[in-house]
Amino acid sequence: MPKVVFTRPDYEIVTHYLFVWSQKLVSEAKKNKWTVTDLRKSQATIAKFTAAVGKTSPALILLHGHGNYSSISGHNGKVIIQAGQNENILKNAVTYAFSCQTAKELGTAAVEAGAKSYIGYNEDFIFFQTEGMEKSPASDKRAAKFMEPALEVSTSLLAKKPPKEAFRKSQKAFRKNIDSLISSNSKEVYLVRYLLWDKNHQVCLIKNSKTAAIDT
Amino acid sequence: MKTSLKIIRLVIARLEVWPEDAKLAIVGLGTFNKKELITHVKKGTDVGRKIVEIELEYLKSLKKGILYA
Repeated sequence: MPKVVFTRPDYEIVTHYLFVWSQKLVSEAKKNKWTVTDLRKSQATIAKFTAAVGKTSPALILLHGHGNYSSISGHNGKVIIQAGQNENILKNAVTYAFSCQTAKELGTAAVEAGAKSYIGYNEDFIFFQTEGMEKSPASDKRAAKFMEPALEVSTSLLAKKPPKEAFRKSQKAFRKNIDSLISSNSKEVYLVRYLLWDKNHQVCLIKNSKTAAIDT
Repeated sequence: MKTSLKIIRLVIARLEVWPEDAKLAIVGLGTFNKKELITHVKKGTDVGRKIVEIELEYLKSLKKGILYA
């Protein structure tokens, strides 16, 4: 069975949303017959991630958490992968980083170091939440507008779709939500600019090829 | 009126129409309600500049007709 490694920290409100929304991916992975290593909450550390990748040589790595141009973090914001230090840990794997900014430098470095592909965001990933819904993020419909298209990448990769197809499906899902808001009389239409931002800054990096946001 | 001041006023006007319970979350920077964001925009903090950048990119997209393609 193919192997997948997740990092899913959960130590403040933003990572809590990512943690809850990514929970269904773990079930999805098991359903699709992946061998799953789920580094959840305080397990999302550089030591455990390095050990898990070394032991399982995963085909797929799904990262969730804070990031900047050159690194992505795990539990309590501690760095797990840093460009120029350990980006080669992603070698031979397909990676999706549901995080801010990391596609810009870390993703590029990883692909140069032999990663099969790296899908992520080259600027901040922005989403909305509803005050009072912090204890039930999965029921937050405002957050769903952002989470569902972003997680389409993971769902497609877990369904064994190629990275470019996963990227295209996510782009289409963002576009669908944008169109739905524009064509309605919803008071939520202000969300469009932020959905468009996320869509436009999502990229799919493959060696000698970069697939940027597409006008679907 | 200077262009930068016009842009800041435009961004603030856009933020004013948000529902009271909406909070923007930036992975890495935290969550902000509209009052907090308006303060950030007025003070020109990193978060405020990010909101202005997003609005400008959106306006450029409108001009290019991307949203009606």
